[in-house]
Amino acid sequence: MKRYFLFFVWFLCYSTSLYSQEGRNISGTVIHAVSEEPISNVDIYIPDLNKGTVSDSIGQFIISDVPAGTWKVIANHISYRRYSVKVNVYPHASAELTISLINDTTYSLPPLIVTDTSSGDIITRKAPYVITSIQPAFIHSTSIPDIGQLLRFSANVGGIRKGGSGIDPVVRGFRSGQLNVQLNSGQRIEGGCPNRMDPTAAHIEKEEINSIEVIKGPYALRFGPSIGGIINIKTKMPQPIEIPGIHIAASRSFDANRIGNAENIDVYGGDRKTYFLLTGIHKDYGNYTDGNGNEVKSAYTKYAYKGVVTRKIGENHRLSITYCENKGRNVLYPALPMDERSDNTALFSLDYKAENISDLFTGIEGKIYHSSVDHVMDNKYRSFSDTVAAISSIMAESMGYRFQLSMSLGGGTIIGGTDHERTTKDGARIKNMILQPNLPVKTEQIWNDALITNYGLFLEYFRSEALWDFIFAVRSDVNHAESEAILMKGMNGSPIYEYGKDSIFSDFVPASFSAGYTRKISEAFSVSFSAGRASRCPDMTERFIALLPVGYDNFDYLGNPSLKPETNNQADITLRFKHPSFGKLYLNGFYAYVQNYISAIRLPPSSVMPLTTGVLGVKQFTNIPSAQLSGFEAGYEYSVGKRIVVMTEAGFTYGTQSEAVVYMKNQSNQIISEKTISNDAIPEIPPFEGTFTFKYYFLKKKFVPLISFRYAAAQENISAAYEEKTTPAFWTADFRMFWNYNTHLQFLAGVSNILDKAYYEHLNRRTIGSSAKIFEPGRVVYIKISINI
Amino acid sequence: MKTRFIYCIIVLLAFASCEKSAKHTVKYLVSEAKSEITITYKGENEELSTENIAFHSAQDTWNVTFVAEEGDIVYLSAIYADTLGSVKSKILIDGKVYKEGFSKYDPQKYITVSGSIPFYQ
Repeated sequence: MKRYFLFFVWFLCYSTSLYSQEGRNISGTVIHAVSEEPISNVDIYIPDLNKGTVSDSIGQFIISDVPAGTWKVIANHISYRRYSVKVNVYPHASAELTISLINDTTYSLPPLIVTDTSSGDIITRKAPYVITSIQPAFIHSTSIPDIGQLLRFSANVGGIRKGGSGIDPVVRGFRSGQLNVQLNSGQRIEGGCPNRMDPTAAHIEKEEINSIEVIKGPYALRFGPSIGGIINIKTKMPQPIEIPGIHIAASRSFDANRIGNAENIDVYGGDRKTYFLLTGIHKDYGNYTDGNGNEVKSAYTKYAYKGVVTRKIGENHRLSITYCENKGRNVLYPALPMDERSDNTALFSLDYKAENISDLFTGIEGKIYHSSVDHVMDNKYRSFSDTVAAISSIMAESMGYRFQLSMSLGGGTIIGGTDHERTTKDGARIKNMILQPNLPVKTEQIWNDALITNYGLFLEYFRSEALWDFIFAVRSDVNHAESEAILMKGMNGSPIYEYGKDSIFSDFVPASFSAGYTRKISEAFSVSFSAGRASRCPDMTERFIALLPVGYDNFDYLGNPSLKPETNNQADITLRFKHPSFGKLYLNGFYAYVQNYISAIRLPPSSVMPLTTGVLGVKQFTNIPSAQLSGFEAGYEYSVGKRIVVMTEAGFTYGTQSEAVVYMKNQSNQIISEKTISNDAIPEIPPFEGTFTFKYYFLKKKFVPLISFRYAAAQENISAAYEEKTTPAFWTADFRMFWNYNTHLQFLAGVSNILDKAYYEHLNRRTIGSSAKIFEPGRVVYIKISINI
Repeated sequence: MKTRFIYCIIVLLAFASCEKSAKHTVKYLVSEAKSEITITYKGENEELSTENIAFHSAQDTWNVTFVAEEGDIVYLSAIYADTLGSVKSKILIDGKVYKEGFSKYDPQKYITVSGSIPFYQ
């Protein structure tokens, strides 16, 4: 059967070659001028012939049937400067060219260091802190269906798995509210589930995105308050089209482990002034099977549709309107007491951008957005739903704006601006006691008109000279939070627990600053140093959660409106070396000292009893004096000729909290005493991890097989206070091959976890009601066909 | 020709991804009661209803049928007043018995059968 399947795939690939055509073509690759990364969706055209095309996911393009002569070829992309070149096409030969584009002057993030896990390229730039960029070439050439899972391929980035999707990122040991996860440089999405089954990235589909940037550390202050880092998810955007028309990109993939499909269609259209993108996505995956042959309940169905229209107002101004709806259905989370029954997310954004306004004012960017998440969870797929059918319905909304003005000043660029975010949450859990007569119903409030508002002011100065770069940023926020009293009602409607007699509120005015300096020691070697002090205010869960088991351990949790902001004092040092005969190397080391680290301690049973059956008690969020995190990242890339690329990357974080409480239990699993300890490990930090990738280019980079290995060491630095368990080491091997048959047709096929190993990541949560962790998928065979017209 | 061919493939792909219906026929059935009973059930749109039904012989039955979706709560509870009474309750989904229960001479004098319409059938 397997043989027949392989033959079918081969035949499918072979038969398409019948459509190949001969003749004079202009073909080539579009790359970034500095990083040499391929650039997709570049509009390439010959004005005199009224002919054009768009570069594919690996930057390649072909314009066929070009008559002999000298032709002007223009390449256009919204984020890059327009490119023009004259090309000679001879009567019996095709022309090939490489188009190098440089960024617009108002590139949204300061170009610093990029470690691209996709193509194996480690790109060295003059900059003081680390940005990991996951490029489209990687995003759209893997079988990985989830954004959180994609992020795991970056050094020192892990993800907390609770089910088949919605993996919650952890960057250098920072997680949840310590990270600022946003969409398109500013839009925030607040998930509905207090247990974070739907973190921000769960509301965006992989097929929607173009790239992901992870800015590590408390440095990029103009993108919002964050102490651990910024994860900026950039979605596909429409491009100006020189010759009015419509381009369609569609793909369909099949995953043999999850027995599921993902379909995506993008329609690009318009002209030079007004252009649009329409996107449709459908995904339907079943449960996956782990390496032991056990089925992991991880099925889900998702849909999304999106429209973006951009209008150029004059030469240097443009306005974009984006509307997107993402829907999840029957998304299973074996680590949580409930599954997602439905999620309806609506995202709206209005963006304005102006460039090169004058010699003084170099750019203006403005954004207004609204994100709403209507999230319904229940336990109907669980064994205990035979006695209590519980349904939680949460409405979470975020709205805000971001405005920045860029100016030339003192040989550098100064960017100043303001941002605002307003987040609200409301919802309750309704328990139907379905074994009792007359169907009694118990209502427990989860959020009661909870609100957080944040107003920020930021200023950033950046200057680049031949031998050095300097960046300085400062930010101040005004943060306000409030909630109505949270009331738990019994079966007869009488209150059994009330959290907050009147409204609960808290206010803070934190300030943050950072600075970085890069010194170019020689043409090949540079050293960067950066330091920053940033604060973040507690999130909604830490402030207002009322008796729900939202932590890593087996306790109900209670919020604390009196929490102080966490402040991270961090320093990074980064060395970069790039030489044609040596390859590219980077080494980074960091140290973070976090004051008022937010942890949790148990409250005495006399003050509050838990509501959840089987938990050990109630913990309340609290500030402990400090926590320390340190670690490193390193990467090396070497090209053997033009055909072979090898790359390796590794990362490690070690974190401790200054004090923690360990609870001793008797045989009945009741707490009998407690002990305060020092320097306990911070829970949920991945162990040392490394990847090795080998890639070979055939047929002028049109056929690219790739094999990669990933090793994760055992994690034995575990938290005693959170009763973490050690995790054994593992390694996995993946293989995939990408065939860019022509600009219209591409094939991807691969096998991940080739040896069908049974393993789990340290950050995978336990299956509920069991001490066993959720295993990762076993062997996954996948295939994807992409069409561009 | 090539473009049309590719266009057709895309349209086929789009149609192939249409969602299948998740509707089910639910039937509640109460029987083997000997006297008046109070029936409480969740019917269409998960609305809770209560009916008092007088049974005159063991052959009498009461039933209600409606359409529901996967995950909807199904609930049927019957309470009898007579100490020597009995009642049998049954929930059928798409004609197959999903839950059933029987109570006879029970001091609590009721039987409840319930659950959620299973997913992924």
